[in-house]
Amino acid sequence: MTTIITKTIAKICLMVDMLYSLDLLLIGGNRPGGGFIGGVLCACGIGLIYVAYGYEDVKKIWNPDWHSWFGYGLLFASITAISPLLAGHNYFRSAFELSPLIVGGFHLGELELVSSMFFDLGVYFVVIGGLLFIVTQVGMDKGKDPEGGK
Amino acid sequence: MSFLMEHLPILLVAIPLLMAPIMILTRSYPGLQKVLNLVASVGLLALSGLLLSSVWNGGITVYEVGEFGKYGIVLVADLLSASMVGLNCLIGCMGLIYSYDYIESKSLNLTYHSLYNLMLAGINGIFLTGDIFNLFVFFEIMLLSSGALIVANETSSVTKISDKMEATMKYIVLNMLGSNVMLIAVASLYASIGSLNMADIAIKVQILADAGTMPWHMYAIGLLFIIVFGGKAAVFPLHYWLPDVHPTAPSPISAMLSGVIIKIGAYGILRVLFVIFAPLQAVFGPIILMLALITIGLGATSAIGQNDVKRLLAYSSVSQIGYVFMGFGMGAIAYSSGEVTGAVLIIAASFVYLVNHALAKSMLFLTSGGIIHHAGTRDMRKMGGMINSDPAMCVAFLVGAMSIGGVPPMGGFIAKFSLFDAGLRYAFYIPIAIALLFAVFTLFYMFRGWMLMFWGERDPQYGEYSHHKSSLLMVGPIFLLAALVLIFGIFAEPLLEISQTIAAQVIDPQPYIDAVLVRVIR
Repeated sequence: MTTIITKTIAKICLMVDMLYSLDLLLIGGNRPGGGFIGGVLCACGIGLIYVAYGYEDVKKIWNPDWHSWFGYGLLFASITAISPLLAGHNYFRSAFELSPLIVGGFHLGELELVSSMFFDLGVYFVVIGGLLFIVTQVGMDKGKDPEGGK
Repeated sequence: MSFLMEHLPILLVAIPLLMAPIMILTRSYPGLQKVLNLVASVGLLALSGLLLSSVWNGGITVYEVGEFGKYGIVLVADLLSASMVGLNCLIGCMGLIYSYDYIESKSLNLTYHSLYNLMLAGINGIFLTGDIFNLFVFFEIMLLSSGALIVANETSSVTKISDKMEATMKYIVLNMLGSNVMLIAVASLYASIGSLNMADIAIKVQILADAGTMPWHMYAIGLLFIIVFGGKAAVFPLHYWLPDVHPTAPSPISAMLSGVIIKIGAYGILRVLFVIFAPLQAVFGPIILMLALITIGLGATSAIGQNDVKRLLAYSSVSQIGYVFMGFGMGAIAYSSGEVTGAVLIIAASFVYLVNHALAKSMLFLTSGGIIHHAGTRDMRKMGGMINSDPAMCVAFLVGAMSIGGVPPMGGFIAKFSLFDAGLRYAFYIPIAIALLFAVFTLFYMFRGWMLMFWGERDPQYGEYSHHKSSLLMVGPIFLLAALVLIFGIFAEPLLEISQTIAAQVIDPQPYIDAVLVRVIR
């Protein structure tokens, strides 16, 4: 699997994949997309890197604790959902505001600001953390390395 | 206080959902985790009591999640949901306290606490939601977290990890298939009715029935729901996964699975078939009754030959859930033949049965954990004479066995008595005869197990019992539940009274529908 072609393509794919995943996360409010699907896409990109370079090699450069990504994501989403209670609204109530987007004096359109965006962000991290936690746990070969080990 | 009362239904889901990530992030501080989780679960128990009392005094509470307007997601706490939530919080709290000493500490602080909270959130959500698609979502939360909890390690494990993996695989795969069927059922219901709100669907189905234009596929959807909830509750022919899964899980999780999670199927049948498909009960009643009678017989006859203490209890769960479903079937038949008071009486009796079985069976599973801890094996033939070395477990098991067998003065006696009495009053002679026959079986297998474990002497070839006695944290919850079993047997009137009101609400869903649909939108 880990030929030079796979490695090169995996790197290129990761960049495109991340951008598209962020796009899906940001448009989530009213159009198809959102934290869940964006997170799945992002996890796929990182998973591809794990497959192409091998778990051990990636671990040397970057070894985040995916379990706590899951924890922080869930905490963030949960707090976002609870916070309307403090403002006298019901659980999950989202604030909504349209603000004009002006860059350098040019009016480029309306920017839609919703507080459920933070919830989506939490879900994004839950999905990335959860999926990659499973991928790394399954991929972490605790037994003998079939190639003799490096 | 008014803040608490206003947001009471959602807090029962939101608090465990918030605790789950906190438990992940505090995993390096086991002591803090234990204290926090205990406070949260005792708090949940108090909140569920508050919810029950507020619904009892103030009527059905509707909570609108997210304020999306008329067709948003609602949580509805009627008396049935509130009492099921109370049952869940009680058994959940007891199971949690018990697991502090029972589950191995590494497993406990890495995943157990957070998954346990997610499971409680899922179950509370299932009982409280008023939207049939959300029922499916909460089913998934409950399923995945409880599936992962089955593999948690015990301190003195007698179950091989490969057996646990096999059990989890069975549980997850079969329940995923069940979820798939449920998704199909919900989608077809939405396609034909155009709504997911249970009260709204109930009205529209009633209109179709009154006009005489009920489409044929509504019957098919109803049957799919029977498959889904029957599979969750382990009713024949979908009972076969339960005797493998419940014994392999760690004892507090077995208590949750047998005490609460199989009751979700019973709750679903009450909610979906009696509220949504109320006009079709003449068709579904006999089907449920038939399946329930086969389940009773199959569970009881299989339990007789078991030598593994937890398998015995698991088969007994299969048989006992059959009694609950028998009540539902008889109630539906009575209702469709015009006997409304009879239906109320029978459904009330089966709800009493459900509560008593939940308490007694979760207590018995916790006790079996203590017994396994002490004896180092699950095989009852290798035990014997434990009345001398572990008298506390002996008393607890006896209380549970008496309740499941239906011996006075335990709660199980009241449950069986009121169910059989209500059935006989409305001339269900053959079902009651079958149920009575297998009630004798129940008495036999429960006491056979008790005598095998506690009477006689242990064969010397199996060695001495460990000096490892159950700690106070393990004995406390067992005795609290045992006390409740006894109290519901001696002072049964409050439970009977609540059950009558619940059954009346289930049979006549109009107040439920009014509460959900006729309300002020903020």
